[in-house]
Amino acid sequence: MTNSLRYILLFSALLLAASCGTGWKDAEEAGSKPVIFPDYCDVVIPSGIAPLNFRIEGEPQSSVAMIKGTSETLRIRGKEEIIIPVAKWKKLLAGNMGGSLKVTLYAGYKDGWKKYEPFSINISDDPIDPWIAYRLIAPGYETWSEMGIYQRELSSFKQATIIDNRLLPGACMNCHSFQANSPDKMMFHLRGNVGGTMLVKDGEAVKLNTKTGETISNCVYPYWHPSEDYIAYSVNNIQQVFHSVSDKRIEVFDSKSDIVVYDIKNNRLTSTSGLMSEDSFETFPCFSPDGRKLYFCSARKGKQPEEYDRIKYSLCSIDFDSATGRFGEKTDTLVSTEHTGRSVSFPRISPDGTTLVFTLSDYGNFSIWHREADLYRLDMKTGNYQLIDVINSSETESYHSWSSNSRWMIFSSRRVDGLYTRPFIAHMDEYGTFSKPFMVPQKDPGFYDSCLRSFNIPEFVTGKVVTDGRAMLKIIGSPAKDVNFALSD
Amino acid sequence: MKNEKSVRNSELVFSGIFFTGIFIFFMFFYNSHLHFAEQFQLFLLTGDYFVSKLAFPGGFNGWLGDFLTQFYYLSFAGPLIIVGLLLVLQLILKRMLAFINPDPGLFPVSFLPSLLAGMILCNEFYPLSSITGFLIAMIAGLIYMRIDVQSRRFIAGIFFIPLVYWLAGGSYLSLLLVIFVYEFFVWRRSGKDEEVSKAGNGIFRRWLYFPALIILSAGIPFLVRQFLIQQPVMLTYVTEYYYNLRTTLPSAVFLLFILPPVLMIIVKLAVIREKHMQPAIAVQAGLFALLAFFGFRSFANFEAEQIMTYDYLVRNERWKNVIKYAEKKPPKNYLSLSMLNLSLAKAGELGNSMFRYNQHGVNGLFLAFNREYVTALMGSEILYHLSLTNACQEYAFESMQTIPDMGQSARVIKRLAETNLINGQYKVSEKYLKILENTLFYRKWAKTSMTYLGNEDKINSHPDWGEKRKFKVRGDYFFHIKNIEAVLNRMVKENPGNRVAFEYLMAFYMINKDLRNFVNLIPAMEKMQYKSVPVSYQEAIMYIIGLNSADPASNAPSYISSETKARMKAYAGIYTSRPDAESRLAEKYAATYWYYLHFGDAELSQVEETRDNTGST
Repeated sequence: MTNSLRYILLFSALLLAASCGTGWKDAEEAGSKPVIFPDYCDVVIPSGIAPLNFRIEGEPQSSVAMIKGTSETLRIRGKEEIIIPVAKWKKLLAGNMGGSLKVTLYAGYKDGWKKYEPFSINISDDPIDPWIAYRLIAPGYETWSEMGIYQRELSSFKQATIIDNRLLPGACMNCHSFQANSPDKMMFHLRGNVGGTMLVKDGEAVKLNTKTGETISNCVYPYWHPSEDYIAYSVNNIQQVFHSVSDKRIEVFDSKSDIVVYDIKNNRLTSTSGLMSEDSFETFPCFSPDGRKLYFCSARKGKQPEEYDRIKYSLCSIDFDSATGRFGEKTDTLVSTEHTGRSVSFPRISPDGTTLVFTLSDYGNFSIWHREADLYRLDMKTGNYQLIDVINSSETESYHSWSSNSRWMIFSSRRVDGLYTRPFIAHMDEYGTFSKPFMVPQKDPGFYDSCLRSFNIPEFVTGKVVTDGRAMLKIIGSPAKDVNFALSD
Repeated sequence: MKNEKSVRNSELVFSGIFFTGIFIFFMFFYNSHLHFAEQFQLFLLTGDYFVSKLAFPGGFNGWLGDFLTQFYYLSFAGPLIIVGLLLVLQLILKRMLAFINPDPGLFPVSFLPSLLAGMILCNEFYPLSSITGFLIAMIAGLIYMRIDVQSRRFIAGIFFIPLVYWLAGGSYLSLLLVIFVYEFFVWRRSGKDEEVSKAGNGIFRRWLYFPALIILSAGIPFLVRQFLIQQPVMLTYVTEYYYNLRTTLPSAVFLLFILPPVLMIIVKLAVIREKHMQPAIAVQAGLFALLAFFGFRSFANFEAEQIMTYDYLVRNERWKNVIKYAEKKPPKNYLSLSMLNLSLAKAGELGNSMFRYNQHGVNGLFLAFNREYVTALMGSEILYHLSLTNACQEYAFESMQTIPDMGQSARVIKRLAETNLINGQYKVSEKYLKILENTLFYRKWAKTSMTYLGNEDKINSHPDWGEKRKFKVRGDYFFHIKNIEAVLNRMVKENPGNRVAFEYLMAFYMINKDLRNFVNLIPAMEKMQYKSVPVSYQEAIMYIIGLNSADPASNAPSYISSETKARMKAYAGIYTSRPDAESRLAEKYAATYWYYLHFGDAELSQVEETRDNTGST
């Protein structure tokens, strides 16, 4: 190496050191916790999560993050953004499971450095399902542009397409659902020229035509039975209308709805008069983990759209015998609109059967367009329910689903900007207590700012879905298999 | 020598005429198409945006095309960019063809791809990237042909095919054809080369090289589809950014792709003797001119250009220019007519002048959303200026959702930032403004608009946003364009000062020849503080009086001008006495409401729409 090259390198190194500086060590105490996006202050995370990269609000010119574990400390420099190296992050999490990380932020502004009060990131012992699946679609009105169902590995930033309308131009795909979080048992609906309900079991796909002469519509909102043999669906006559005042956009409502159960082995839809009442709307079915009860939302029938804000749903249940495919005779009401004065949607029971979380909004069932919609927890032992303060916000909280071990719940929230739905994950301990949720991290902390699509129906999956759109293409292009219908009573 | 100089001069003149012609065409006759293309793209000046494009085959080309398209924002920049690209393309083709046949008299042939490229750009579904992608492939083709050593050339070919596929996309197919044709000519030429024949290496290498190229060309896109991107087979090979309708085969682009190898064959076969040089050039130039004339006539859509001009002027709120433009190019369809009517309303002339133009029912006032992006965007302009902010937002959003290439629109995002700002939805507005801050031409506007976020007083005193807030919908109802009459009635009741809404409602009734409801609105007119009652209103009132009075002029209210009274008298004289009244009245009175009442087309009383959901409270 020539002398001049050495000098250049030395000068560069000095310049680099000077530019990074050590001014942060003399930082002034800010006296408050930092404002970061996404907000990861004092959250509980699983050990299998990708680095929680974040941005420091307030446009600092440079920043230093000290992430301290029990045995080692990560020092990360950045400008506005703190990007944590994946390998070091994984090592840090592995070494601190069940404990917490203390994050101290130093931010350099024009008038000097500030040291913020440290915040903690608590690492739970409870494992999390390694993948999540969601639909990405713009929160539009009647049409859609680029959309699809995607899967994301939680421990990395890897996203893969399950199926999208790049492969199937013009098609719409929705209501993806997995049997007990299994990547091998999945269903979703396709709308458009190649419409049908796609049912995938262990790599075998079948396309169903679920509209029968006896039912209102094609099958809509699904829920798999734990036995794998049944899927409960609502059948709905859905309409949407558009508000004119400044704080509301869209109203989606049913002018008719019933609940049916699809018997996979016998290719038959079945129901009972209690779930197909002429006097009421029934929707959002959900089986209990033991498969012996079917929960659903029910409202007294009203004229739509005239009475759209007077239709309120209660949480009900009915017995179901998976051996015979028959329903009980009695319908129970767990959360009545008489008590709440409001409307229940999306009941989802933790796989351990202890907790049911539902969405409560002022009226109707399409809570994603209801700013007031919040998540509530129902204790399945006591029947008591209460608002889950720690995970709600002033904006919409709506769809939610459970991890296979009942310790994590993923839910959709519009808290960031009031319109674009984002996925949040919250931990629930064995006593049913939730912790502050965290937004699913992205490699670029600014990702959610520029992303013009919503994350719909976030679901945990225990592995990667292998049977993707490409593998199903032949079946998608073929005629759908008709299903039959029979009342069980 | 003299001949060579004269050929060079001919080429310069030819080149000058061609490129000046292209510039004039896109600058003065087809400029609105370029503005139209600009508004339906969103180019972000960020590293992430660039990297995200590079992740797809042809993505770099898409990025480059969009980068250049953003400059269409400036009226003169688009034509300059197009001329620049076509010039570079011609120069590359000239050099490529010179490798096959260096005869200078064949220079017009090298202009043909540029001519076709120019024609292609007349169609709004072909983005600029269809030309930049082709250009990248031709640059690679020229570099390839410049390599003398066969083995190096073969290595370059193996390297260029995947590289061009990834950077430029589908134009790699054109490069492949160029390579094949060129190698065929080289092989024919070197077939007599003793050294190569003896060794047998040339033939052997070719037998390996050609299948390798074919395998690469077919295999790489196949692998991309199998392991990287789920997409239809055609899209895998043609790739994005050549045609905005992904499900349709871009035939003109395919023609462009095969043109270079075809021209290579043509120039190879063409022989021009020295003495025939000038006549041959003249014949070529003549054929070229014919091709250019008929080609542009076939590709250009001047009716669309007219609509786009109306839209461009409305987008920039140049209301008087719209009215001026309508004098030269009267509206020929609902889109243009609705933009003209909006401009008349904004210029305070709807009541005075709307019947100076052919009105064709209420579809010339309002545009229904028919799951298509242009009507939705233009319809959103009308709703915006009526202060129907939510409905405008719906239309704008739907417009972006139906853009054929599934992209985003800077114009729509700007409008969504505004509607959310007006509605007090600051977080969403901020999101859109932050996105626009990363653009070249919307950044300044976005930065200024940022200062309005959360500042109620500042928004309320903004000349446009403040007015929209003043006239905002107070009592909720479900909006549907089919119910526009009820909507306007509510608006006029809620905000009697909303003159645009009032004039649209009056226009709605007049166009529908619904004089009963028109009359009921006359008391509301007093609140509008008109200096003089609009002419067509006067005419309608006189007509109503005339129904019950033998002498309407003497019974007319004081605000009816003496000109209107005299005009009515003359009109009535012809109408009641002449069997050929319609044609006679058309000469002098076609611009009156009476003429519209008697002879106008008002069959469509409701805004037509294909969607089926309805809602009202």
